[in-house]
Amino acid sequence: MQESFAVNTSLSVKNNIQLKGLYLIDVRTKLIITAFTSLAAIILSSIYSQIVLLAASFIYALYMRKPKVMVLTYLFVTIIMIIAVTSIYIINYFTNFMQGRSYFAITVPFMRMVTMVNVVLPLAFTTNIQSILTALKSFNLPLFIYLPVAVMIRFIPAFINDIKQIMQSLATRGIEVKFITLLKQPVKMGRYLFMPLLFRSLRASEELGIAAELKGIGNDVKVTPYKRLSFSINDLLLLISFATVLVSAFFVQSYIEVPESLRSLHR
Amino acid sequence: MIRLENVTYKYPYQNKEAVKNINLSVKSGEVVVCTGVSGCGKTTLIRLINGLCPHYYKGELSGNVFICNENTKEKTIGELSSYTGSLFQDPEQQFFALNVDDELAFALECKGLDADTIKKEINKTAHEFKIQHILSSSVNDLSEGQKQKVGLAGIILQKAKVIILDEPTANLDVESTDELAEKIKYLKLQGYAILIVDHRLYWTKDIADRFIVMSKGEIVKEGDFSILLNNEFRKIYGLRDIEITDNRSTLADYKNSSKNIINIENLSFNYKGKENLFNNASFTVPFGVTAILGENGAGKTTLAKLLTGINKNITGKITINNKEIDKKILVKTASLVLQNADFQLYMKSTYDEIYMSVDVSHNNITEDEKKEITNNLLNQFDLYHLKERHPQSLSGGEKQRLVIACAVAKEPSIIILDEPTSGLDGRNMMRITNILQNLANKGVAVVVITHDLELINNICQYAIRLPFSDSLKQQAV
Repeated sequence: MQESFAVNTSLSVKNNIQLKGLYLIDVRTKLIITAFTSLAAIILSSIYSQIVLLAASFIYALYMRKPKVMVLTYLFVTIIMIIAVTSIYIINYFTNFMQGRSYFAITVPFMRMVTMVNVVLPLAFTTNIQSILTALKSFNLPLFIYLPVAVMIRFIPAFINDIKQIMQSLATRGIEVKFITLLKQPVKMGRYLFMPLLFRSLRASEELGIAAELKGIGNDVKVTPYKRLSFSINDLLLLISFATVLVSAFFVQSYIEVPESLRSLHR
Repeated sequence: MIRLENVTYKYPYQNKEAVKNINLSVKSGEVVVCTGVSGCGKTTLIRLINGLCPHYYKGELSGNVFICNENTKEKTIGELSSYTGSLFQDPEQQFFALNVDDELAFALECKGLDADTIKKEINKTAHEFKIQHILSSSVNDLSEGQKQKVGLAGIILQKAKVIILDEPTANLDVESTDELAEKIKYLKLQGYAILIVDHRLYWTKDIADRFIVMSKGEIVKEGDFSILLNNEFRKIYGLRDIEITDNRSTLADYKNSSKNIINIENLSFNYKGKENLFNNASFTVPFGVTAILGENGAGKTTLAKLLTGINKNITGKITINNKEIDKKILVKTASLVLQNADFQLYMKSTYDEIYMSVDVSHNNITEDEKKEITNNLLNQFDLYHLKERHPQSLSGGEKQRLVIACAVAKEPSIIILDEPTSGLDGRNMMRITNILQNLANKGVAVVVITHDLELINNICQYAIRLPFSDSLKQQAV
């Protein structure tokens, strides 16, 4: 995109970037946080525990300092939630499977999803892909596991970039993507957003796989990372903070009773 | 270095062979150019050489492909990557990392080089390709031309003996294309075997040793540059011109036009926290066909987005037909066709795609009238026979015609197109040229952002030359 040239020219004046915030955190720390928080989000069923995880992960994601990315991601998650809730409402209308429970009972699965998104975003946006690959290799994971994982993580920024371009392209047709239009014309707007996204995603996943193979990613050599991040006191503090959050979440699950109407349908 | 012996290849679930009876060799220090209309089998040829066919795409391969005397059937794609470096048509396909320096380092890391050596190699190559200033940038922030340069720098760094370039100049400006030609001459002297697949031919005249022309999966002619001299031959096989003069300096300056559609007064714009791209710029856009010219990254696409209100937060005033631009400008008055057609196709058929544009911009007519407009546009853009086809299944040239048809559906006063002929063969390029000329003849102001000298020579009357910003001008110098 042409517009970004100014970004680059200004960078050339400075000639380097000062790494800040989560960029300084070791990739292994981010991977551990992502894995354990996601696992806790899956295991825990109490809505109060989920609130603890969601709040902590939200603060963690904010340190990424990419508000636009977060807004776009949340918009996407909201659309999925609206579709899911509408579907449940329709199914419940005919089958009454909710048996009088509050719709709060279906919030836990969504909270799990948002928590996982919150911990994956910083990993994807504040880490270079080679560091992730090296870290995954250092965990002694086989190629068939670490390659798809790395491609998935690389795919997130490409996916968000695609959404931005689709919204700009829709603007060229005189169609603005607003929350209100999404609610008023969900089918039409869904098609406008998802159709190009689907095809682009299919192509992007194939392209990234090909690019990785053509660069010799599977070659049996010892990879030395070009950029190294060392494990610092910040990493330790962050790990201790998340450990505290996870322990608190399990504590809440064990000791604080959740009313029947708020209990998850998907325990 | 490259040797194909009686190669025939068919993709899975396809009835027809993508390439048939291909015999080809490229020696060390030789440059061979392959050309032909879209869909003639050029991309498959490349995939056969870098091993994607059959290892990735599967399918049936008969005959043998040897790269550096190794049969590709017996090697993995990863192993073949140490012999060949490929630069794709869409440079974004190339990037696996998120930053430019990480991207350049990626293949070297996979080779097991140490960090200091990688750093030295990157700096050396970045200097050669004049991309030092973007080493820290995100790959998503690069202009198309910059992406192409980074991709090429990446394969030079891989130090493979065989280099395959798929449409390397599709998004490059003229000066960068000249630089690329010089670079290829240098690589040729270094002993690389280079296969270039391109529609643009003029820049290869002095660097290529041989040309091959493909049609329907077969090589129909092979020889030196003289095989392309025959105009009739080029027309039959949909090839582009071979001798192109650079007429950019002869285009009338936008300030000299008398009848204007867009007036821009004291325009200033910068991206958040960055230096100004436009600083108190005042100019006009005339009726007729105007080219926005400038090096990669000069702000051409930004200007198009400013003129159509997509990029906001400007200071100054922009008027179209003496009316200040607002949010509704893209509903009817102006049309903007961006570069990547894939993002601009939403519906399940070509017919529906155009109908949607007609529907959005024409509120006061009946459904039958909308259908009539849609059918007329399908005919006008030679898409009627494809009206039931899914837009995403069309070829590059067909998609480009379709997005232009959607833009024209609004009956705009001005249409702005970003690189409308990039990556198109001669036949499709002429189709687009004729469409734009017809629009201009009907009184629509046509503005094209382009590096394509053939398009400029064929239809452009005026030029807006970027950058306007003094500091950017100095950097360009």
